[in-house]
Amino acid sequence: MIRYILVQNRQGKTRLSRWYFPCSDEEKNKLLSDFYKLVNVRDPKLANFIEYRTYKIVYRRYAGLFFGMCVDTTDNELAALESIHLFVESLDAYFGNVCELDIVFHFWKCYALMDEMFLTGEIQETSKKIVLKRMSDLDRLN
Amino acid sequence: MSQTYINKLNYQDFVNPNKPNYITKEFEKLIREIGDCKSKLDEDRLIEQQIIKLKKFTKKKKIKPKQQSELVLRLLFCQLLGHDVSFAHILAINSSQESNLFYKFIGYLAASIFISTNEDLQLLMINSIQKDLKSDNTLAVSIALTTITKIITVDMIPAVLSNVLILLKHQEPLIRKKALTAMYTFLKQSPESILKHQKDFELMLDDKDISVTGVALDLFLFISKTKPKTIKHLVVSFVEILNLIISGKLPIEYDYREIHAPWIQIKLLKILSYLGQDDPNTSREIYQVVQLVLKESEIGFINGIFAGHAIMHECIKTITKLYPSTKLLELASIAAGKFVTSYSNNLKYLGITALTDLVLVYPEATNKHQIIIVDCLEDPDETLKRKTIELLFRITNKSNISFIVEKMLSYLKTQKDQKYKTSLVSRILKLAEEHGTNIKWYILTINKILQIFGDLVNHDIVYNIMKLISEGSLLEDEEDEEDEDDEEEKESGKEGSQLTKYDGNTALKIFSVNIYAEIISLKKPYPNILYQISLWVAGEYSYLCTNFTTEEIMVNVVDLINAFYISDETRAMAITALTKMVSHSGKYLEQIDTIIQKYSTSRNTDIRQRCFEMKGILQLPNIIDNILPPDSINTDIEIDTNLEFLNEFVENSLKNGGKKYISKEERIKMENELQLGINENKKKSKELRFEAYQSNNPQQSSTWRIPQQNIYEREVNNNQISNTIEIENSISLKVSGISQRWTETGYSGFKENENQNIENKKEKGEEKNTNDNNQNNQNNNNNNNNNNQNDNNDNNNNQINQNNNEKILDVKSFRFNRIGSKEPILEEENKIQEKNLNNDNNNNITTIKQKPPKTEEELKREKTVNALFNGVGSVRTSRKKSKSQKVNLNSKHITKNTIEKNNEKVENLIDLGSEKN
Repeated sequence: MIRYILVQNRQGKTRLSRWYFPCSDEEKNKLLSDFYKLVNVRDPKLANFIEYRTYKIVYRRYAGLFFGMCVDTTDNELAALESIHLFVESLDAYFGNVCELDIVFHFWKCYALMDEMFLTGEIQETSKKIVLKRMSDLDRLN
Repeated sequence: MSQTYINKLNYQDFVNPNKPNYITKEFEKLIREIGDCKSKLDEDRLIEQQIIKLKKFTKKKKIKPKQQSELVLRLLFCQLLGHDVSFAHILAINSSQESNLFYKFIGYLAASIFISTNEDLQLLMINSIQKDLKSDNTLAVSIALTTITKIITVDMIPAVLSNVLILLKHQEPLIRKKALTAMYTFLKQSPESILKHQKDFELMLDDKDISVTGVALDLFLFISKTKPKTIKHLVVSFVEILNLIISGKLPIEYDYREIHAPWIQIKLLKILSYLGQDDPNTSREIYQVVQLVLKESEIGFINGIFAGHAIMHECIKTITKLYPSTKLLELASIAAGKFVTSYSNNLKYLGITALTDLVLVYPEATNKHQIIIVDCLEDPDETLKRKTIELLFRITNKSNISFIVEKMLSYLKTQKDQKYKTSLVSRILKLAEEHGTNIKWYILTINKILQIFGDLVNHDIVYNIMKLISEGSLLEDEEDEEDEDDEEEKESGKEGSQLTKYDGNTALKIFSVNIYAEIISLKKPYPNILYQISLWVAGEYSYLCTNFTTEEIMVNVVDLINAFYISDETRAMAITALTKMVSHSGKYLEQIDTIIQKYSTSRNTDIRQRCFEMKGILQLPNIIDNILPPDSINTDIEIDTNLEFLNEFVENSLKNGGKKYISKEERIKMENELQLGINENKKKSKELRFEAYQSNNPQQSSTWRIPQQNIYEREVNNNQISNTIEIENSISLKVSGISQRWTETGYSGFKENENQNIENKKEKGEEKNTNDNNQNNQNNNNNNNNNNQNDNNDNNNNQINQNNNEKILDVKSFRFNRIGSKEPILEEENKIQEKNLNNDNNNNITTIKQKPPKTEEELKREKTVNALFNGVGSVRTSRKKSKSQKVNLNSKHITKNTIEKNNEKVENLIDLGSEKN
């Protein structure tokens, strides 16, 4: 199960964060700063997995952004890594050559897209096509 | 995603031509301003201004829906930047109740993000959710279902469950999927109530849409972890679905990089692994499909697609969990080998993880890859290294222990995390203990560890090593065979010839004392723990050392004691070691004097103590060997628990009238009885007391009962007995005398009492005369035995001997000296007796009359004591009393007459007492 999904830039600013377990604000801040400390210093050649407390953080860097996911130790790390990639691919397809500013200005749409793919800590939809269709449905509402 | 890294984000000019944003210019401006902020302080200032604005808006009664949704988005933005916006959560809920789907969507989205921190608002949501679940618009239903998955609590489940169950059969796959997700949320929160609907989920497995099946698998994965037995019948279905997927019959949109629905495959493999765990029959059904999936995923491996690796990794994990099948395990170990030998750190990491599990069921798995695994320890990646260490702990055996421990230690040196290091050191020590075949290797390894990480080691290791060296080890036999292979042994080959002369145990001692003597000679600031072991071994076995002479070791130890880097505890041990060496070798160094001189004044009491001990021992050259015999640790000290060697002594003292020993249990028992007696007596009314003394049984009289109070006295001299009787009498007499003063009828009984006293004295005088011969003999003995008695006592004794009628002082002084402590009570008694003696010298008969007057309290006490002696016969009195009433059961001097006299006196007393009452 996914515990939380984070998107942070290299300066440590959190762009998106979604929590799939009950958690206080203090705890969230702690987890965010820990994520930054752990991930920011790692060389790109190193493994994309970090053991953190009793969980694993799976992260991947895209340009100036770190996309991270905290999963249970029994979960498949590579599958988590690939789902991050699928999420980024979907963002890219939706925004058309996505960049950090897209996420900043359209943060609420990113949440919506995330909700289409991940719910209750599990990956629910793995078809990019269906996710994009759902997003365009939402766009058409306005 | 854009691969060009934007060093500075250009907020001002940013517009995405593809996607129009629905937010206002003002909000956009805020985002841009915040983006351009150079510090967190500026950012916070801007947001705080914004929040003040928002607060004004929330106070307005009517807000247009469009404006409201805009405000909700701003709130969301502020929350994302870490500010508290709970004051306006209600806006999100209001927005979710709008009829416009877009505003509703914004409202629900924001609510689902806000609400986890605000429980009360969840209840406000439930109405609009219920309404939306019944909506005809699929989008509205889907938004409501999404919100349910985020905000639902156990209490809210019944409110929406029936609606959700209906939606499971919705025609739109999107709705079915979301309804099933909602069910999954319920299942996690309250499994019992949801499992009733298991049939409904089972149907969903055959859904036309694979993504719905995918969500259904989440539910079954959950059940398979908790209650695998309830879904064993579905194994066939799971296998079927898996077969369907790998045969490529799914819509192409679920392919991810040429791999068919990898996430669903992984979910299926996970479920199967839980179902097949410890179940041979189910496992057999699964073997084939797992093998197929593994084969398929290898294609992905060749093309370098991570999704394929993910499935392959999951296959290995599944095979490890299933009931073991040699064929599959072999395939899994080959696959894991591919991971480990891969170029990518991710794959290496997974390979190591897989092997860590695999070796538990299939130890051969790592045989081919040991070198690669150990090389992973030199990788710069910390995650990988830690995982590798875990694996190494599992694959260590007798043949690779020395190699692996060496690698681990070099890894340990690079570690900075103190906590992790500590745990690792203790694990390595344990590993060396478990798998070490060669005791010498073990000692050398431990020394190596202690040299570097001594501060992290638990001190138990010190005692283990000491024990090992002194007692040798069972492993000793194997060692000889391995000597030739052992590198350490070759290095110190010259010892070989010498070692064979001795038995294994002595050889080990020689070996270790050589090593530890060397460590001491190096004079490096090693951790104290290493020096402590070294000093102990050197102290204990210095005479066995072949590389150093004892003098050399002693000089080194002396230098060490003066070194600044050792702790006081170590220094104290060093002093003891020095003492041992001197005593074993008989050689003495001048420096030792200096050491003793210097450290006798140490601030550390332990060091001081040991210095004095050493000084003391060295002054006794004749018995030095007995104090610290060589190899004393192995010499069992025989303890004669029966103390048979004392038998003769005890018999002698018994013959001489000593008392028999009464064991502690008996004493306690007797004490209790005594106590009980007193208590009962206290409870008893006057009538009862009257009965008791009426019986007037000499058996119950004081002289027969008193010994019970004096059980601690193991030897009592007859002299003493006569003495105590004397006191006994005097007390009773005195008490009766006093009673006249405070009882109204006292004067009437006065003359009677006096007469009795006189009678008593006469009796006593006669009694004494009969016992004079015995007492004289014993007094002489006492005087001879107690040469150290002070002059006063000697004088007293002489006086007494001259004055054959009175022996009291003699006995008193004798007792006083034997006890050896000037207890005030005894002194007082002594004085009293001296006075008595003086009186006796002058006037033998009037002793009692001229006794110093007693305080009222004492008199009262005495009175009760005497009353009780006769009444019940057993008394517990104040300490003074019990001391003054030491009477032996064996006493033969007490005639029935005296006892009767005593009784009579007490009777009178009680009479007087009762009259008074």
